[in-house]
Order: sequence, then C-alpha cells, then structure tokens
Amino acid sequence: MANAPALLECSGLRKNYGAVVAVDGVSFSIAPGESYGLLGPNGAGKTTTISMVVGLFDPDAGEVVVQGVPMGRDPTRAKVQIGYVPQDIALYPDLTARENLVFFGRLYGLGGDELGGRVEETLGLVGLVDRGDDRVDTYSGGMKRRLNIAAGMLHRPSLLVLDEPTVGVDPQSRNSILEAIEQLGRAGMAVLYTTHYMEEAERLCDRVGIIDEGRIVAEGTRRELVAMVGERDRVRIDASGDTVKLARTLRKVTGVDEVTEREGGVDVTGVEARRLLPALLEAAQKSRAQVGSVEVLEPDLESVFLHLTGKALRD
Amino acid sequence: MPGALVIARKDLRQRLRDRSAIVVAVVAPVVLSSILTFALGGGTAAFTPTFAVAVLDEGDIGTQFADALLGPGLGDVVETVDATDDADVARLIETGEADAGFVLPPETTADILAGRRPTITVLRDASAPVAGAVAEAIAEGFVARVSAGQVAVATTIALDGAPPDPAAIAALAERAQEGDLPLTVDAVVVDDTGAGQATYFASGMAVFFLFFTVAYGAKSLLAERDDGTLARLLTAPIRPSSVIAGKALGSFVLGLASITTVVLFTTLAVGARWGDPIGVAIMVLAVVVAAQGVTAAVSTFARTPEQAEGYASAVSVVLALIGGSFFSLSQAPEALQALNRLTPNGWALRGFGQLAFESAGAVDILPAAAATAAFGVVTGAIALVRARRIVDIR
Repeated sequence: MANAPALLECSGLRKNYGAVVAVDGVSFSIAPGESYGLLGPNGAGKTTTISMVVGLFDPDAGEVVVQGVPMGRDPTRAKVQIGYVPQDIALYPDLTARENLVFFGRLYGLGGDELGGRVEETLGLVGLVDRGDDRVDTYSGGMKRRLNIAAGMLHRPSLLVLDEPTVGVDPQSRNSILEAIEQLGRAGMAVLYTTHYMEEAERLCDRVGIIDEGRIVAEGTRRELVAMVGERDRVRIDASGDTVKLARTLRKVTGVDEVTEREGGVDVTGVEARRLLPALLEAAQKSRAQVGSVEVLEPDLESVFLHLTGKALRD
Repeated sequence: MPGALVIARKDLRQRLRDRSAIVVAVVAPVVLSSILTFALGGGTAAFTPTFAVAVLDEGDIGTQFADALLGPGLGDVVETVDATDDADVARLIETGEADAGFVLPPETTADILAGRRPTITVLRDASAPVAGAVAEAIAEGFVARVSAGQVAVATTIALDGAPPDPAAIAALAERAQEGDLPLTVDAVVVDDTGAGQATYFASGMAVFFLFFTVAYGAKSLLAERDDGTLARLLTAPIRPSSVIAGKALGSFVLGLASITTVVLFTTLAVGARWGDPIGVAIMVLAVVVAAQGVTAAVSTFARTPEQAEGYASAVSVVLALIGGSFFSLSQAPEALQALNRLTPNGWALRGFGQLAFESAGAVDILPAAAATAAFGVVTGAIALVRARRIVDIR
C-alpha cells in the first residue's frame, strides 16, 4: 500500500512554540485506504503534527499535500478531502445529534436529501440513530465520543484524521469506536490515527510511525518494527527495594541484552527470556530486592518504543 | 450555502433555543417599555386632558373659540385653565398644571376680516403626546369651522341682494377648495428634551437591551474557541473570515429582530408613536450596527466568554446611563450632556426622539443615524482586527 500514489504527503514538518521545538522535521505519507498510526507518549508532538495536517496550524517549515493539493496554497480544496476528529469533544451540546451533523455537513457543502441520508447513515454507523433527536448534553461521555467521530466522517472524506479518540472512554465505548474505525478502513477510507495506546495502533494501523520528542524515530508495519528489536522477549519485573542494584545485578546475567529501570521495577530484554527466568530470579535474590511479580512479554510496539527511546510509552 | 450563512443559522438556532436570550432580546425590553409607557402617560386608558387657554382676541372669533372649548361636547371631555398670554400657557404646561395649551392672538377677528391669516398657536408637552395631538386636532377643527363660516358670510356679502355673479361665486368656491384658510395652526413643543416619555422610554429600553442581545456574537466566538468547536470549524473547507462573518451576521439578525419586535409591540399594544417608518428603520439599522460594533470590540479584549460578558455588560450599562436610556438628561449638568454625545445610545435616542416628537422624516434623522452607525463602524473595525487574532489559533 505504501507504494501507491500518496493520499497524504507530509515532508519536513516543523513547528516551534517559542524556543520549544514541538515538531522537528516530521515526514510520512499515507496511501489511499491505508491506516497509519502515530504512536508516541503524551507531549511527543502527535497533536501538533495532526494540527498541521488538517490545516489548523501552518508549519514553520515543511509541507502538507493532500491528493496533490498543497495545504498551504489551497487550504479550502485540501480540507474537503479530510475529516477531523479532535481529541476533545467538539460538538454543540445545546443542539441534537442530528442538528450537529447537519451543521457540520453543510460546512462541507452537503445539503438536501444527500445530507439527510448521510446523517442517518452516519448515526447508524456509530449506533446513535435512536438518540439522534436528543440534545448532546444529555449524552454519556462514550456517546459524545462516537458522535464526535461521526461529525468527522459525515462528508465521507478520503482521509479521516483522529487525534486520540479513545482517551477517557469506558472499555465498551472504546471497543465500539475502534470497531467503527476498522469498518471505515475496510470501506477504503484512509485513516491517520494518533494514540499512546500500543494495542490500538497494533489493532487499527497498517503502518505505524513512532514519534518521540517531535521526531519520527521509526516507521513501518508492526512486523517491520518488531524486527528492529529482534526476536527478543521482554521480562517485566515488579520489585521494591534497591532497584538500581537490582538492575546492575541483572545486567550481569548471561543472555540479557538490556535492562531498563522504571518506577516500581525493571524491564529486561533478551533472547528467549523464558529460559533466562531462573537466572534472573536468582540474581534478583542476590540484589536483595523484593520481587512482587514477573511477566514475560512477547515483542510488541511497546518493546520497540522502549528499545528506540529508552523509555516506556506511558512515561 | 456559504459558510458564514451556515454558521449564522446555527448560532440563531442556538440562541433561540436559549430562553434567557429570548428574555433579554424581546421580553425584557417589551415588558419594561410597556410598564414605563403606562406609568408615564402614553397609555391608552381614557383620560381628560387639561388645556391652558389664552384667548387674547376680544372679537367674535375669540368668543367662539372659548365657547367651543367650554361648550357641549368638548367641554365634557377636556378641562381648561385660563392663561394670560403665551408665556403663561408655557408655564402652566411646564409646571404640569396643563397638558397642552392654546394661544389665540389679539386682533384675530379683525385680521381675518381684513384678509390676513392669523395663527392659533398650540403649545404641547412632549411628555403628554396624546393630549398634544388632541389639542392640535381641536385647533384644526376650529379653523375649519371658521373657514366654512367665512365662506358663507362672504357669499352673503358678495350677493348683497343682487343676482349672484357667477365669477364671484367661482372665486369664493375656489378659495374654499384651495384650503386658503383664514386661520392657521402652529404647534409648538414646549419642552422637547425631557419629553415623550412613553415612546422615549420604549426606545431607551429597546436600545439598552439591544446591547446585551448582540453581545452574544463575540462572546460565542470565544466560547467556541474554549469548547474546541472553533478548531473544528477551522478545519472545514471555509475561510477563517467566514467564521467571523457568520458570528457577526447571526448577532446582527438577532439584534434586528429584537429591536423590531419591541418597536412593533410597543406601537400596536401600548400606543407608542415611533414616527416615520422609514426613519425608524434607518435608526434601527444604525443602532444595531453600533451595538454590535461596541460590544464586539469590548468582548474581543476578554480572555474568556464569561469575561467578555462582564465587559460587554459593564460598557452597555454605562453607555445606557450616559446615553439617556433610563432618564432624560435635559436637566443634567452640561458635562453629562456633552458626554451623551460621545455615546451611540445618546445619538440613537436623539434620532428616535426626532422621529417621535418632532415629526422628523427619514432625511432629518440622517445625521443622528450616521453618528450612531459611525460608532459601530469604528468599534467594529477594532473588533474585526481583534477577532482575527482569536480565530488565528495557530
């Protein structure tokens, strides 16, 4: 999919806030129908990047091109191709769901029967048909989230940009949101999705860009990214006591590649970590740290992020 | 539909759904105007006006005029107070002892017989517009009666027992038809500054609440920014200027609807007389522009919607006080009267006053309308510059 003509092309995006560099030379592209995830911790530059993509911010340097239309030169034409779902609920609470959707639809030039049909279809997609005539301020948080997404996809954009749409959502609504996005992806809509939830990126995205401190540090499919870490497992040891000494001791164990201290314990990576477990526990005992639990984790994007940045996604 | 219209329509829908907005835009000015109208003399209840009468003519016309006021018919529904001259009539009106007055000048009878056209002066108190209108009608009715009588007398004299001369009859008939009346009526407003309280306060309240009504536009721009919907609007395929235009249009329409409703209601329900409709329409447009510009400029200096509401409210109240929405400034110190000219409210009420109490036409109130609108244009330009900063959330 990455070889298809790009629907979205971001090159060298840079954004400063005073002396702070929020985004530092971010480049990536998304093909039609592709789901692309920007994975990174809070403050990594995801929202700033997305804001430049949707035309909300002008980049200090670099360019956003949507279906061949430069955002900086012809924003109105470029924006028609994009549906934006902001991180916070951006709806009118004193209007009903249908009124909200009709309003946003009209902004995108929809009208008449076409608009009415789109509203019903979109309400159905997010499971709100029965509550469509209720004011939004009577909705639960999850329902508002779903309507927030509906407002972004009503005009059937070529690219749907979602900025951490599941933050603060209960598990049931979260699953419902992810299913709706998967459905859009299957229907051929390209998706740019930011999250700091590794499992969401793994579930939804064809390709993932790992972003940290305003830079994309790695990019690829899940398989490609995991391969960067090698076929190594991660052992998560929760422990109390002198974890610094614990980490030092564990580094001396044969087969251990890397030990990362974190609050409440350490993370160990190594080939076939399960076989290392006895040695690791023996070393832990020697360090006099009190081990609470030990968990062996298969390689995932969290491991990749840890490997690339030396810190956990939710630090 | 252009983006600005879509946004304006959405804003109006939200505003009309908010009961407090309806109260401020329509109910409060209408209710207060009505209360003040009834309380201060413009009501429709039956009343007995008191007229100060200075009959300075000792001839037949003077006697007929006094008899007309005191005789059957008029004598049952009006009261009269004798006055010595026009100054005395004016004094009686100003002290409230009379609602209006008449001055029939000396030698009226002799002047009419000599072919001159003396004038009955009607002195009015603008705070009692109905009584003033009744006085004018009485004077005009009397003039018509004298005219008819004069034609009859002239005809008799002209004939003098001789066969009628067709040319003389034609000349008399023509004179009667042309309305070449032997008397004229001149209406004089005794006190035009504190006057016409019924309509004056209707316009005062309408203008006062208008400022609160239109302040919504700029405040809602800040609210949209805080609520995150502004970001969503700016990612739609519309220009940022469309957002500002939509906000301005929405509050303009609401302001127009608000003050128009007040004008119509007070006219139809409580008898306020706003004057020439075209002039009123011009003043309404001017004052909506002014209110919108001033409140928007003030609001755009705020950081939050709540702060904007506070700023706009404070400025609206101060302008209403200085502008004369609550009380006439005719007796106020000169400095305050000078300040009045520095407020859009003052100019707007001056324009409405000219229409209501001086029978001014659309052309006459153009200076007041232009001055009122000028406040809106200048402050609106400031608001536009400031609003662009709000919309530019980069």
